[in-house]
Amino acid sequence: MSIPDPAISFVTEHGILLEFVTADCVVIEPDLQQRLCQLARLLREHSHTGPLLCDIVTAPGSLLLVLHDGRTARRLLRHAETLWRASAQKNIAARLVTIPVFYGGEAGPDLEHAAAACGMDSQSFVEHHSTGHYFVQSLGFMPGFAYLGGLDPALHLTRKNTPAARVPAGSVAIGGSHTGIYPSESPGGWHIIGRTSLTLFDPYVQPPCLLQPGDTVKFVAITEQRT
Amino acid sequence: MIEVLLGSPMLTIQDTGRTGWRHLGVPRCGMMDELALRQGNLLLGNDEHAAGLEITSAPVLLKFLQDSAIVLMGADMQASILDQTHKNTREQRLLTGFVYQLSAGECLRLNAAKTPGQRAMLMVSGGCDVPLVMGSRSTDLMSGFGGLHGQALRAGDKIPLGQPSHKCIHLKSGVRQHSWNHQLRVLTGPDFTQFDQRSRQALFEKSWMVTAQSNRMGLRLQGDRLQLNQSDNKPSSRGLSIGVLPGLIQVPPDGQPILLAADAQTTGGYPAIASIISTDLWQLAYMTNGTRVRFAEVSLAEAHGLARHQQQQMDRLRDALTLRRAPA
Repeated sequence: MSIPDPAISFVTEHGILLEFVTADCVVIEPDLQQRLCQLARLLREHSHTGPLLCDIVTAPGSLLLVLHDGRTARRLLRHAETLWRASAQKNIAARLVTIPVFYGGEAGPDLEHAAAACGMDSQSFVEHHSTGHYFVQSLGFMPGFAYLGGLDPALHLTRKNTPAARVPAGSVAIGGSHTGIYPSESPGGWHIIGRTSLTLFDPYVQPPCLLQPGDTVKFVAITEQRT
Repeated sequence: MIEVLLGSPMLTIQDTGRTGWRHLGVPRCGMMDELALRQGNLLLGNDEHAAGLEITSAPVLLKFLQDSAIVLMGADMQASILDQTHKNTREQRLLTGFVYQLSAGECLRLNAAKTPGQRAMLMVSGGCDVPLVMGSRSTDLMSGFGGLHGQALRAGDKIPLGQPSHKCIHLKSGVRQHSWNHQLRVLTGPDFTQFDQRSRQALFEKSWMVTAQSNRMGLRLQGDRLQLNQSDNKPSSRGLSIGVLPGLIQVPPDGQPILLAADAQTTGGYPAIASIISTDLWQLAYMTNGTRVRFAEVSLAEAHGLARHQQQQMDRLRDALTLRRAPA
């Protein structure tokens, strides 16, 4: 697989956007995204680049580098390029996070409807979802909300026309070509198929998020709901 | 300790914000006028990043349970100091940018700003000493953490204060609050050329009105409809979200721009037409329903130069205050 050189632009005077795909692209190769997440981690941890950076935001097919001082951009980009080239040879060992999910019932009120919309029964829908291999493409929308890539195209579902007013924390959901987990209670337009009792985001512990960009994720169906 | 006797909506504890966590979806938050916070803190001998109070509406009544020095910045809220009986006014019309001393038991009263919604900042000697959460004391109202119990302050809340610095002495002179003119200097953004010729001109030639649907996450503007080039049949939004920052100007399909502010979320899919330079970002604190805003383009080099100049001014203020505080 060949990965193109990124398009580089200033989003703000301190924010440099590296785009590795064109603006009309809608699906991201998992390998490319894994490498982006790895580059972000390398830049954050590297002794030359870490101190220059205020934030690095991973998004599908792009990275936003936020500098303390925009004038260090050239220096940072030089290091980024070296790290990017070096990462091509490395095998990426992603962390695997297993998430137990109670599917359906009160925990997954949209399961039956979602299964019907995909032309299958609830049981095979759950099997499809829980046998998939997912990876954390990016986090956003709210703290700890991970957009998981790798969803079986048979399970892709357009978002609800009217978002639910209240989605409980831990809800496992499908929106478009992504699956994800709501870290805290919020309104939401995704289809809720189950719930996990794991804590996805807690600002008072270190690290605050269970999932980090680049992690791989597996769902395991459980039959007893723990609250 | 400060006791809130009378709170108001959006009365929150804020410092210079939470950085280093945007990759996990955690917004910056922090004082809308960060410059004012830093200036006020310097006058009080506080750490520049110490937390203060952001006040958006009034009346607010705060009782000081210990002797404290304060600095008010931002919009003039016709603040006054009430004595221990809370019946008599000891000092009226406090000036912004000057240090005032309050004795234990005295109250600070803030009344409405002349333009409703314009914010004031209150800095206190020692700073608001609530726990650091993910490296900051700022209140994240959307997610409900930071500040005091992750929420806006209400009557009965008690705000702990840090140890005042020995450098906090009464100063006869103060600092000037930067005056806002609602002229925002911007850099064109990554999607600028995706907009049609008319829209690109309109951004700089027309004025934009701030609407009531504006808050600490973003300011929604109303004006000419900004449109993408129609010729090449582009979709009305980016196919994919990108990382976004406070200051970015996004244009949703209705063509009415949104200025991202301190509490802005971390990723977004709307085309980014331009961004407000960091030097002018503080002005967002004073843009309210009905404010007319204009944009002027600057180059990247100018933006970097202006940011450096602003930092030098802050450094000069710090140096001048350090000199004045040195023992004779």
